[in-house]
Amino acid sequence: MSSRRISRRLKRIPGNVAAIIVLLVVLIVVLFPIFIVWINSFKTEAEIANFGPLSFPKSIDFSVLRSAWIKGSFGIKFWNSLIISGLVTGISVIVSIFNGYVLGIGRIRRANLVLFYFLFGMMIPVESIIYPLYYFLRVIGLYDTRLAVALVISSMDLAFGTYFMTSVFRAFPKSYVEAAKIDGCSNLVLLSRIVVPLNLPALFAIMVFFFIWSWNDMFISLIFIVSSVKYPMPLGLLFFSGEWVRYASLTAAGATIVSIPSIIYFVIFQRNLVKGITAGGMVE
Amino acid sequence: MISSRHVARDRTMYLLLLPGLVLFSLFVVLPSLSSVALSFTDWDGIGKIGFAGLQNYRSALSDQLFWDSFKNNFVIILALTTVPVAVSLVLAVTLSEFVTNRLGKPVATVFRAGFYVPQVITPVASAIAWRWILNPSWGALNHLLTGLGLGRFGRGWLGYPGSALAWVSAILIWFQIGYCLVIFIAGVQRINPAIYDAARIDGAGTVRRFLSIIVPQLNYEISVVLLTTIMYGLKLFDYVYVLTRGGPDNATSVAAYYIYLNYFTYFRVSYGAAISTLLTVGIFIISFIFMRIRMRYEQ
Repeated sequence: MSSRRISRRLKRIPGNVAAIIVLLVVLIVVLFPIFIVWINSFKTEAEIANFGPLSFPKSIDFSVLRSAWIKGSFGIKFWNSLIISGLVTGISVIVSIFNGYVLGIGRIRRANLVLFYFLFGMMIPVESIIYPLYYFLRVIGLYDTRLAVALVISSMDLAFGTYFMTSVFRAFPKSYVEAAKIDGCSNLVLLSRIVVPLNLPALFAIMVFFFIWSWNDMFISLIFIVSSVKYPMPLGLLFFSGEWVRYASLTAAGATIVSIPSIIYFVIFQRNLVKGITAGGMVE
Repeated sequence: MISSRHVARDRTMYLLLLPGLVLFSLFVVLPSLSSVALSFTDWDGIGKIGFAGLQNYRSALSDQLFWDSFKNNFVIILALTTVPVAVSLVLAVTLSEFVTNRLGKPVATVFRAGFYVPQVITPVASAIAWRWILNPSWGALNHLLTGLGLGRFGRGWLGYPGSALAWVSAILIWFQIGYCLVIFIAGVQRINPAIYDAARIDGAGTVRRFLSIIVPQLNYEISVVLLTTIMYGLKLFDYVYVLTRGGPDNATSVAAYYIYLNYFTYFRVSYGAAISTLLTVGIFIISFIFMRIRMRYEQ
């Protein structure tokens, strides 16, 4: 179609071709590591040994990917990740909405003190809570459960969520709230019928955040999960790559398998994510 | 009558706040305070707990590994607060000025998404991919060097003390560029085009406009990125753990990893707690300094 249109456009950018070439080169450098590992997961061990890692695969062969999927039981690990991230997203979003509503719309005494408490806690690094939690979760029998991982991640995330939702709800028009109150709406009705439906974009943004953060976690599950049937995907890949460390194409296939859900989420949620990062960065 | 209804309303409010406060106190604040308390004891995680005063802090000061780990955090932070910030500033301006204007917004969006890919991929998967590329026998980098006739420079990049920390930093730079870029693009879009056009009419060249308009106008975004990056660099664990486990010979050990070792490998729980308390205090101090600076800007 538009090779003519493109060439017309290119004519309009005499001095800027260099800038675009630089951009392209940087983009290739950024994407190359992922690309090279992906293409090597289509090769057999023999093909990598004979032709090296830089050659294109001779054929699109899914056998190594399939055997990595089975050997690493990534199917179960995918479900574990989904369970943990689903729990984290559910818990953190609901609690953040409650907190944001109370601190941003409701009028309680010492609201800023409570907000400050969460803010202060947002700075606490996970290293400083991990050992007492490890001990505590063993005592109450939650050690080595997906629920424990989800609870710990949720509790850390909800500080950010509280801050984020409080600032979103503080910008919510007061007239809506007052009108609803005059009509005799209770807090729960006001929250569920008016405040939540009118703030869905912001809610969706933090949901995506909570989901992806927990999906990418390795540290918390490394500490709190020991049974391999409960490993989420990143932890599964960690041990898989240790076990098959001598097998170039299996390792590449494992990394490929675990990177694919992230790419899918990114494609689906790109817009929310970018908006959220910008807003979140500004909040911090 | 009215006052009793007020009380009832307040009670719902406190009830709504309760789950969050309980979770947060139980799983974050109390454990963190327990760590501080533990740091004054001599616990190994199993036996009896005894009071040790400041002993752990004193041993930290004379512990070479402790200093080496924080030094590595510092090197990584230095790399992450310079290279990705500079590169993304240039990328953000190029994307908004050239690509959006000449090739259209969709092309700019594709570029931005491409640069952001390292941020979305699970860090464990990225780290394994990099380890694969830097592998001494089948790694793509050594093959590339051989192809260029530089094969004699090839080596096990992550296992060689002279290059391991440089590679860990380089991989983190690769990871971090997308984050800085997204924040800076939002910042560039915020800049009033009138200022920019005025400078262009006055004859300011591209470099001049970049240095005297864009960089000062992005002050706020740059401070956000710096704070986030410093925090990230201080807490860094996953990439180091997967790439090198702090090796070779502690050349890439970082504070979080050293704390982890003390807790779960050396069974020096109280000592680990002391280091994590120092880390927490450091993070608080840096956050407060940034808050003060920002408040001064806003006034």
